Amino acid sequence: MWLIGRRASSEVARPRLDLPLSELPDGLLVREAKLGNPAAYGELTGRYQDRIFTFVVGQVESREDAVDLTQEIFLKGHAKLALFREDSLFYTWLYRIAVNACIDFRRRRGRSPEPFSLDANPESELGYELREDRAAYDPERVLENKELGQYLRLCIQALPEVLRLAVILHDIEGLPQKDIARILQCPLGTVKSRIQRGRYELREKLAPFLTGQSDELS
Amino acid sequence: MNCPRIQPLLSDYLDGELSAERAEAVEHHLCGCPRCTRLLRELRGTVRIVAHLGRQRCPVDLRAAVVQSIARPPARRVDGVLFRRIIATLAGSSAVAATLALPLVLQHSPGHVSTIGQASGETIPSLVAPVHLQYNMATSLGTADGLLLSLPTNQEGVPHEPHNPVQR
Repeated sequence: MWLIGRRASSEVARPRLDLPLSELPDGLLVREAKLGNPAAYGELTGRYQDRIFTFVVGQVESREDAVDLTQEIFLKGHAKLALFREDSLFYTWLYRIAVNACIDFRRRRGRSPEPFSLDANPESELGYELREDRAAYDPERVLENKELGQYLRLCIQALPEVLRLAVILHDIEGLPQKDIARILQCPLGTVKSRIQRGRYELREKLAPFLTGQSDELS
Repeated sequence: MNCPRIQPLLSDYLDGELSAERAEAVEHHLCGCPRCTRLLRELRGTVRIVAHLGRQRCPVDLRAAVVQSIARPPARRVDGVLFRRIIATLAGSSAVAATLALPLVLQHSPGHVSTIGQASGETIPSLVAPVHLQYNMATSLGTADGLLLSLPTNQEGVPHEPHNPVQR
């Protein structure tokens, strides 16, 4: 009796596919993928590849490695899909895989956890000085500054791993703090503290760009 | 509340994560504190820059690659990192084999004289391992057949005694 009940509860009901895959919610795509439909998992990949790539590119130095690792994360996700109990959102679960994959990647490469010291100036890593013409300062153009984007990436990579993960997941990926606590498997208070410390670290590095920016934003 | 108690709350205040009571206390403090007000502005600017410039677009659409990989049997699946490692290993092995084969080929090419000794007219013995050692090394790399075919042989098909100045 127990076995029958268990079997019945573990059965995956086939979702109705009278809608195109692109219009199905994540939950139905996950079920369809579990039933062996590669296209359903392809649709999930398309939905989250930019977000996972954004997360990964903040953890590794090379964009080429980031693409490879992003693909590896989706393949790992598919391999473990049967273990996904659907008690959380799919992307939250996928981020958990991404966090572990990035940590493993950095260990495989035999690097120290930080690419360079926080005491070092990320600007020197760029090999050139950032343009910052006060006379022609325009807060909107700061956000279009590609060099600043590169500089920011170095600043984020310079953060200690725990702060970097929290800042990327919260301020770039836009995840709620409670989801981050689940992904990083730590208390909510710890997540808050890490986000705050990460922001303060970045504020110091971005200080030259914040004077006009902050006036504009206030 | 004073500055040291307010400043740790500013990040949560930005996110709207504070209780109404605490948020009111922060706002009350900010009204009379230019330093904390500036700090809040800079934090807000930092968050805006990070959110705007931090977002990236995956340069490759991975859908097709992922679908193709999961549709294949797992044993044949080769990801990008693994593929590059295999290529690097093969390239390394080829380079080692070529390095070992080069002196063997030079040694048996007719009329070969070391160019180093040509200017002064003297013969400089080359540091070449005996053929049996080269064969053993080549065998261990699985390239022995190709190397032996290039050796000059007598009528019975036996390779000539190798010319090895070191042994003389």
